[in-house]
Amino acid sequence: MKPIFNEVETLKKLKHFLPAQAPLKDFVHHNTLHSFQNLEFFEAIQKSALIFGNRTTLPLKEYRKKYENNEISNEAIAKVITQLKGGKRVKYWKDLMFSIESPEFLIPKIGRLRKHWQTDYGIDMDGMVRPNIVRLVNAYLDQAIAFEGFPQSAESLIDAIIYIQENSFVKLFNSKKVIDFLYKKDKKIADILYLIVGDERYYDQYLIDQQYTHPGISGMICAIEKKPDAVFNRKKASLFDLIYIELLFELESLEKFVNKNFRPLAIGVDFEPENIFESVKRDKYWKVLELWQEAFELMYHDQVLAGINLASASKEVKPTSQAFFCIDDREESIRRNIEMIYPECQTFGTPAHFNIVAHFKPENAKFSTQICPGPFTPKHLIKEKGRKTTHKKDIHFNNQSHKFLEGFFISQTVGFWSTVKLFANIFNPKESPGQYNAPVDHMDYGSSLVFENVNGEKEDGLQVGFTVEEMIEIVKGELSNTGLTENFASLIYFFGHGGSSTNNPYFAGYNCGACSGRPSTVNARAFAAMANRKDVREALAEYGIKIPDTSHFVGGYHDTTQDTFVYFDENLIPQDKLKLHEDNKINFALALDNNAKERARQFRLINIKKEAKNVHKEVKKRALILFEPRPEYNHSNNCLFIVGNRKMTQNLFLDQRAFLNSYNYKADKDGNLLENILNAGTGVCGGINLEYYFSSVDNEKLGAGSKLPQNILGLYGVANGVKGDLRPGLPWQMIDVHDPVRILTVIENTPEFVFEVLNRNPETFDWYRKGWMKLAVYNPYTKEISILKDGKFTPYEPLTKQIKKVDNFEKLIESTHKNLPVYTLN
Amino acid sequence: METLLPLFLIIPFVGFLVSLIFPKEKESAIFYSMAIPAGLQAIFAIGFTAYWAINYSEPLNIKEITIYSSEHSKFFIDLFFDEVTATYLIMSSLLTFMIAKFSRGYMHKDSGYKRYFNTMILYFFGVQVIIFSGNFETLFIGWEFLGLSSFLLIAYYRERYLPVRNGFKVFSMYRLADLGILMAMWLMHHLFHENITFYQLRDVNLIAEHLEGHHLMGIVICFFIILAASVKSAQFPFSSWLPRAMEGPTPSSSIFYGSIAVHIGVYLLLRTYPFWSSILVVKIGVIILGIVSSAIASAIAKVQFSIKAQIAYSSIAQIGLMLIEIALGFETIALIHLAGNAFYVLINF
Repeated sequence: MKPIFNEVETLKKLKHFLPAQAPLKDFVHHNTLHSFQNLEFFEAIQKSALIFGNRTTLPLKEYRKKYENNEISNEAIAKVITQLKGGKRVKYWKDLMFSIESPEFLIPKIGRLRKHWQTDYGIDMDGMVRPNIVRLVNAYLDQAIAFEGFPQSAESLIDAIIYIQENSFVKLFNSKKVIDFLYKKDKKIADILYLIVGDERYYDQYLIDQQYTHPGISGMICAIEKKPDAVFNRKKASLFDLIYIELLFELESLEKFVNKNFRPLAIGVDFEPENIFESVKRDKYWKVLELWQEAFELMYHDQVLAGINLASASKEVKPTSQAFFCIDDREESIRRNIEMIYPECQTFGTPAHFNIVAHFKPENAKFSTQICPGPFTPKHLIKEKGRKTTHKKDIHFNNQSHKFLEGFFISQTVGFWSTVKLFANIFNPKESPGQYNAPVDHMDYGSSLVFENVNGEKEDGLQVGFTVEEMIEIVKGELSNTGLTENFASLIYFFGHGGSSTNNPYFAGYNCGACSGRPSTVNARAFAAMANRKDVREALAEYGIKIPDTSHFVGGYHDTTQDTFVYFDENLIPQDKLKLHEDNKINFALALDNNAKERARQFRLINIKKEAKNVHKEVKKRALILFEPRPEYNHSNNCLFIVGNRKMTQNLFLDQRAFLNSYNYKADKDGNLLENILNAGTGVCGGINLEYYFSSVDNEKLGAGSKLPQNILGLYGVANGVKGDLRPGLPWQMIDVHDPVRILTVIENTPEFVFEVLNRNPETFDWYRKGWMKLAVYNPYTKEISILKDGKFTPYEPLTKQIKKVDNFEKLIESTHKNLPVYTLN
Repeated sequence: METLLPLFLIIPFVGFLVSLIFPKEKESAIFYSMAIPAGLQAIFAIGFTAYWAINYSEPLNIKEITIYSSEHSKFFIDLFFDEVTATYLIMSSLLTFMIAKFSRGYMHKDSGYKRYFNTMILYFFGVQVIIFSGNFETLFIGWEFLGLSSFLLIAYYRERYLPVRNGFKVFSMYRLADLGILMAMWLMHHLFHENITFYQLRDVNLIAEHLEGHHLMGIVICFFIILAASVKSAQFPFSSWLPRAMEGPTPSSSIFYGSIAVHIGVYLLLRTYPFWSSILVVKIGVIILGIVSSAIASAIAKVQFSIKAQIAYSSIAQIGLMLIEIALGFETIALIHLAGNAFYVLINF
């Protein structure tokens, strides 16, 4: 007979459903409800809400309030109902949208079995076991905070616990039965469950309930088990060990507080086991929520689709310079600001790993880090040499002082000096060691890079540098992906990006997502160097990409928090282009001032009525202030992913809400370019967007709650206070201005073409087909728009007939701190 | 010069009242109602202390209001100023000012912005009452303000379970400290047959005279004082509340548990030092308490895996050391140590 409980299957299921956030240093945005992604979006969010009791849309009254404030219009509601329910039933559904009541609070499915400890035995199982297990596991995973690390922490959790049990003065476990289980050769979860739960049919549900009493720490264990190099000090963490140890604690508690021969939980009970994850029936309430959410999203998306059609393209200007930026929504505004004051500079958007798939190792560093999107497995290593600065260390922020004697001397001496420094930081923030910035943590600006392979050299199992053939492929791929294969300007900039901030556990989320949460300095610099090589250019010419000798590539870096540019290897710029470069720098600096001012309208503590230059000074300080929970607003309000020529959006004001990926449909005859772009971009943009969405709609359960009381644990996670579980998701201070709107992807090509390309990769297509992202196609030949509905494209007629033109851009951004509608710029 | 002392209490209290007036949307106004009094207090404190140090340097004492008076007992508010007060005054007002400045951006847009600033300034007021108190009765008033505002700040996230639970835990621990103060106060009345002021306590002969024949009572009083001090300064065996108090917003945790609040126990011992310094058993007791606390707390600090818990335990260890310094008679070193530690811990948060 096949056993009812299958350990492997249950562990697999748990690993799938637990939160999947990586440790802090590798923090990359991902879909919070990734485990439900096999379902259709609205079904998934209903299911998640019923199982876990979290909120997955805005509350009904919020939508109704938005309606009253004209943020949702009657037209949008009618259009959405017509689309989803048919034209005849508009009145019925609209009435329901305003009359239906939110259901009474439903007890979530999770925890129902576990609750019987309380009701049937009168014990608080969570209260007895959770503090111990959370503390032990956190201490075990600790990277470098404790002076005396967890004993044997390089071994598996069970082995480390055995060591403690043997060597500790106070024993962790005293029960004989428990100790026998600890030493048992062939460990099986079912053996302990037999004593605790009794009936095999309930095991699965019991374990899910149990792990969901501390989802943060269980999810972290799974993340480290799956990717051990996500932490610097490797741990042999496994979910099996965690569950096994937790069950031992439960067994010990039961023996101690119930009695030695306690009745197992599921023996002699009159309830049946539940399949928590069984499918749910869509009811009217959820259908109404769907209509509201769709109508809310339509309000902005419709304007954008109309705007693409209505905004006339700018005059063609022969570019003197070209600049590449990341597709990141934060770069939308800097590109627009540059183009506004300097139309001779053409801009492009592309994921800022710039087609370089590698690891990077700073000089003197112990470990290398990935500098390409997370799902890639790089085989190459870029090294740094000639580093001018080392990691700064400061006696005021040194945890040695938390030791006893050191603390004694330090507090008597530098304690007073620290007051002076603190005072100085308040009135005039300066760089301090608590600050995260690109040159200190990543590539030093004064160093040089080893990116060319010599004699097949290898290190850490990776090939050091690229061969010339590989470089040719990188440059060729990058240029053809973005459509820059002719009309090269004299100076072509490649800007990576990242953000500097102080005292910020989420620093990785401020950096480039396409570089796995690092600043994309190395990529920009290495790419420019490759594209400047003679041998590479000669080879490219054979493929029809003729880069004239008069063109020069310059790597650069955009600090999005401070709004500053850095240029690498300026000494290599040819003499005759220095003048142009200096002029460009002046123009870019002006654009950066304007960009800072535009961003500052959301920072309510800055007076934005001042001149852009002065506002910029205030903005720069935010990255340096010790207590600044919002150095920048990152991806807040993102809701567009536009794949097409810049001309499509050049004259639209998109308010930092769009990921822009350059794509030349004319050069993409076989669809390979589009396929590459969508495969790379879909998951990244969708992940960012959905993490923001879910962290906004339920910040307590799906986000990390307020950032203000957070405490960094073991350098890999954050928790509230000293005792709580880890908090995955985004803190409130990152999403407080975010509108929870799903992302709309707009592709410039024909619907048939896009449909064919999407069908090549069902995984990518599912994001759209199942409604986790929305999809529209702008046909450049017919100027028509189609949207994806029920798996196929249907023509779309925007509600918006007119888009306002901006007369005075500065006045516009001074006018409000709220989200602005779409405007045309010409 | 004594007549200026009440001003130091009036400034923060007016700040507190003003901070209550503004609606919570007026973030800047609320901020200024904390920052201005704290800044003013700091400037005034430095000026006052400098003037005092040059011209007087003898402790100041002023009897303010008599609250209750009968044949047998008299309760009155008494203010006192000496170098201990000066140290705490300058330290606490500077720290409060800095925290106010930090909190402005840090708490920005938080739904409890007003509540937070109200509580912080109430707390600041409580501290000022304690450090200026000239007798146990006055001290007790400040002590209660401090206890209440601590509870409110720890349980700041009142919709969540852990902060509220930990808030209650700290609150109940603090009641134990209250008990210590009340018992000490009551027994002091018995011992001296009057409401004794800290100013009078400086008279060695007076103490010796009263302690004669009541040696045991003296020890019992000291026990209660030390009880109160060790609860407030999280010394052994009351250390566990300190890390649990880190549930509030980070700046409030830092001001409280890192810098000002935990050092109030040290203050109490410094203030009553003239009384217990003549009793050898008590001195030894304090030294042992200091050693045990330091040893245990530094051992615990070593294995902490979270930054705030590490700071909390190392702070306890340093305070244990301060107790030893006081008991050995190095009061000045203890004062320097204390101020240094307070500022240093703050920046670490």
